[in-house]
Amino acid sequence: MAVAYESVGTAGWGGVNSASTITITKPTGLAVGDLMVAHIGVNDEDANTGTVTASSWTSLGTAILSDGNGMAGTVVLYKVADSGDVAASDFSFTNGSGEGMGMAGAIYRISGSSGVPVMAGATTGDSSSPTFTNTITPAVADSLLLFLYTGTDSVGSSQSVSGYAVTTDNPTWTERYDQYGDLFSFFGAGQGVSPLMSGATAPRTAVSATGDSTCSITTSYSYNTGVIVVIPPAISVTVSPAVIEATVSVQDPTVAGGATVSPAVIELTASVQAPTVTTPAPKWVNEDKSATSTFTNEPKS
Amino acid sequence: MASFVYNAFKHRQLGDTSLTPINLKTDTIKLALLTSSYTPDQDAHNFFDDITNEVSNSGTYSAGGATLTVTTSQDDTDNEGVFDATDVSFTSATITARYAVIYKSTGTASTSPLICLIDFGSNQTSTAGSFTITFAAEGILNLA
Repeated sequence: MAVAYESVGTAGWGGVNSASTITITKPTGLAVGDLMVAHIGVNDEDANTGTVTASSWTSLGTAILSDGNGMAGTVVLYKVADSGDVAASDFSFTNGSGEGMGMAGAIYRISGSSGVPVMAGATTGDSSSPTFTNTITPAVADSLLLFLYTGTDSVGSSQSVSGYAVTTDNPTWTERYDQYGDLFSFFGAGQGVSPLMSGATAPRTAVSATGDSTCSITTSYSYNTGVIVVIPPAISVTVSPAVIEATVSVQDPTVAGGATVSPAVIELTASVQAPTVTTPAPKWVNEDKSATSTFTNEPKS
Repeated sequence: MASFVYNAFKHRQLGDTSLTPINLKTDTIKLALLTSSYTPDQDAHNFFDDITNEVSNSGTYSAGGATLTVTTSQDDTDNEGVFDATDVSFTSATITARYAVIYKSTGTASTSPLICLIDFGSNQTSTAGSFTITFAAEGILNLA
């Protein structure tokens, strides 16, 4: 079963009043065993750490660029969906240092994965085509790559991201979301008012190192963070053991003394016994019925 | 270590009244997976409580393993009695196993006698995938 992107649930940028917690819609079709990868974008006008947590989710890592005047961060968490997750309608994430923050988020639904993603993140400054030094080498072939971008600046108009690529064996990327936030009403003028986050996926056959990753922004952004997440496919195994042969053997008996036993043939003799024949006594006949009769013994044969 | 039949099973099948008999056709016969840390002992291991290092629960694999759907038959071509079962598969499982032990399950490890041990020859691993055991066309155990 190949590892595959299935769907994504998103939440747009929230300002100071909602930034400490963000609630992201559950990706459609979520099933038990699916891997969920959460991309939380954070921004601020101050230095911050972007320590985003959620109950029972595992932190995979962060890429945060902060210089005291502004901050952009990509925070990545993951979880293998259980029945409770399938029954849920959304998921909440909390930033423990949320003062003055803006947050946005996305949750990917990935099927057929090993359930154990890895990532490499990097940051870069002012650029409309940021290059991130975040090479990563997939452990197995046919992994799924996620490209997660978060940036912030004060540009005053809607912006977008495109042109996702890695240097080596670049796969075909499909953008899954691209969210611009206008937080001027919360912050006023400042570095955190034009946050941008986007994500793309690509199946990649190669197991070579990706090299640096790049993308294009419609205008130059001062704070750029980029993460490549590698999601290995599930691995199945089939074992075909040989049959076990158990032999039942009849052991020849040992004859005492080593003698050879040769029994003689048993003779059966049949004899005809002569019968005893008994004949009846002769019958005397008086033929003429006179007193001086002569009796004769007439043979019957 | 090659696959083998536990000696106690051979003895048991001769009808010694001091041993729990096994009816391969009608008893509950199970297959459990073991890691390479298990040290096979054809002579001394008799019951399932002698078995150590069973793999952990994962996916559809749970402690004690799976119940086999057994068939027994007579092979007049090869002059053998054949003990066979439907192939076994544990899904959504992250498992590394070296051995499979087949035994009669009474529900209590100390009274569940062992039958045979299958050595895969090396560790076999599934990662969030299916761990499938496909028995040979000739079955699991032949009595020749």
